[in-house]
Amino acid sequence: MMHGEILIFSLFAPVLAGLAACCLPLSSRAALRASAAAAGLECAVVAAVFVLKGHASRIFACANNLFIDSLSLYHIGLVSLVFFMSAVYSVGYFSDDIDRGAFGPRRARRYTLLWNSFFTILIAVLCSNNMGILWICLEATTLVSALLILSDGRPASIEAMWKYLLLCSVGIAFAFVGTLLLSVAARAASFPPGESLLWTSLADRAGLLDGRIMCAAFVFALVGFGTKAGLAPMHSWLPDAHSQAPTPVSAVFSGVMLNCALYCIMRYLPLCESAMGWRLRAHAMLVLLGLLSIIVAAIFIPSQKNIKRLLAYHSVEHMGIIALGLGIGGLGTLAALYHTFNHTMSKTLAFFSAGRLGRQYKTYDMTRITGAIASNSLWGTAFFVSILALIGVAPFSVFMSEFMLVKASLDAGKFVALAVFFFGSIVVFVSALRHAIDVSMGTKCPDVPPPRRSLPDVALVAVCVGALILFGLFMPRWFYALLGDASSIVEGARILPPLSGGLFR
Amino acid sequence: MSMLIVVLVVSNFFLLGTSRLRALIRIAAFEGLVLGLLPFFTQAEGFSFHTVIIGAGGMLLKGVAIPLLLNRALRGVEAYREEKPRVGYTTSIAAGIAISVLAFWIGAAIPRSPLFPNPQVVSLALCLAAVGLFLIVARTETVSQIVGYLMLENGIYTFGISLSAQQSVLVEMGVLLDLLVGVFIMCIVIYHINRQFESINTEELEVLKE
Repeated sequence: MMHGEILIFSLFAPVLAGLAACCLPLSSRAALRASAAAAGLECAVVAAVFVLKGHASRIFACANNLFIDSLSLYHIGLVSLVFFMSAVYSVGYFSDDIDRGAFGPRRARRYTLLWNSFFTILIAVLCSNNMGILWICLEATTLVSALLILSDGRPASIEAMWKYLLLCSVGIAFAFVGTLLLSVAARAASFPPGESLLWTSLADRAGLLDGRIMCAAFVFALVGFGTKAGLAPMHSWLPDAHSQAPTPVSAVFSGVMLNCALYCIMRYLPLCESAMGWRLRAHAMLVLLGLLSIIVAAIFIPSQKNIKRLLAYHSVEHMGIIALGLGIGGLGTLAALYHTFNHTMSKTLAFFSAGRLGRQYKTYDMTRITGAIASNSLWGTAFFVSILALIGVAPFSVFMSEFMLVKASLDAGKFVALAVFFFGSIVVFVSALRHAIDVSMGTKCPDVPPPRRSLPDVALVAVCVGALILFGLFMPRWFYALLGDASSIVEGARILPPLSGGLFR
Repeated sequence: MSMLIVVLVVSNFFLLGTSRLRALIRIAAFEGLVLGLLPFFTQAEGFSFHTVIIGAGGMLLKGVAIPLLLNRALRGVEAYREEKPRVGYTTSIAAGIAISVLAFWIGAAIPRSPLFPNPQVVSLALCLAAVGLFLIVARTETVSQIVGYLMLENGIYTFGISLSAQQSVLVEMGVLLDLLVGVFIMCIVIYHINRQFESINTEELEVLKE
């Protein structure tokens, strides 16, 4: 299996190169550009691996401790894309700080070192087949990213970091109990010692595992990874951390780190359901947490003043929607994975524009940001469009995935869940639209400096908006196939209901 | 083994009853050292490479390295005792008694099976984890909360020891490394909190309340 090892190691090569480049004595701009180049290279490598992998369902390396399949490759693609876009964005974002001398080479080196470590560890999370290593890497992402929140040392960011560090560490500690219980169940089913934590071995023979132990394992995993994914009621760190981190970091937090935590839950889901005989108890727990997150977001979004906190609560809502989709199962799983991409693109764009507007207005207080489109046509429009996409306006792809979710829940007969989803979505729709109109429309503030615009900024906005519209109107065949493969992994050995549904033909 | 369990449960009460931060760290270090002995008594194979690694690794880290880090973080900080705990010390000890009784009651209910060869160790694990969570909630000094996190981690480590299923050495080492780095970063935050707020009490952290 040399071929597989080369493919998997090549996924680590660009990020490790980026890590090495940060140790060189580069200027601030060069360090940021080197990170962007490494992330760009990583995107190219992921595309190459996707093509070279072909029809192989799983590829292994390192004595089966590392592996990739469609589900992990899909998430690796998202991680690389968001890191690439955020790294390109951060060159422009920190440009003022560099000119003022507030972001010197030493600080830049520390920032890019943490940034690339975060990137590398997230790729390791997504490649690991050993559930123990998966846990270790996910906890390591908390530690590395906590330091990224702290990069400016203001009191509020220290507070946010402390909450994030303590809550997520305690939360993830519970997920470790889930991992331990997983190994107990495997040992009870007399799996060989070397294989008792390998996801692929467990998934292939999940029916042999003890249902009661696996049910307990799922509860612990759901609480633990759910804390990191920002599912209510364990979400309280999320608005603070997202609002206080530098904007490129917020984008990465919201765009991919939360998805990676949900990815861990997706790995547990088929194991536990197969062991429990597909009585859908684990799915019911996911539906419950998903709905709770949507409700919490609907309660807090109307009263938000800070633009980044508003987006953070949107993350809670969208994580809830993804969890709801996973909990409904079948077409819902497909919708959840599709929604993952849509949320990532729209939230990345939203954070980028909120960050730039905040810099220009020198505040994140939405009551003091008005006439954004008039004072900054590019990022003001981008903000308005991204909020429209986030609240699910057609023809953006978020609308399509939410539509699929509605269809899935009707098919599954989950009418109560659907009603709660509609109620939450409508409240969020109205209140977020009001916030977006207040910020974007109106007359230009006289004391706001004119915007700095560069070609990369225009390209970032064009790529995000283009993807949101394109994937809403037309889904490429390869993307549909990838989503189908990934959702069949989450669905386990269960026979899938027909996925076509005539939605995209 | 029963002696070790008794010693650990009793030291939990000292942990709950003290207000002095340095004493808290010292008791946590003592518990770390005692916990490191536990694998030698519970694992069926006695002195194997695996038990030596998890036992000695745990002792070195929780008994020596982490307490040193915490003590270093307290240097230059004007904090000697817990000023305003959310729950008083008498109540805390009462809660500790309730936690212990409950934990051992649950442990007694677990049937001895090949999966759970040592039900008392499971009780100890529950006890440690619950005391840890209690400390995080009931204390306001950052150092006390870190000790609470350590106790929670000790509980999970003990739960791991109580199971017949072993983790690979790589995973054990990774978990310990995460813990060490985690506490190290928390100590960095203590430094920053002290510099910004001139106190290391979490009650001062209320900028982001809503």
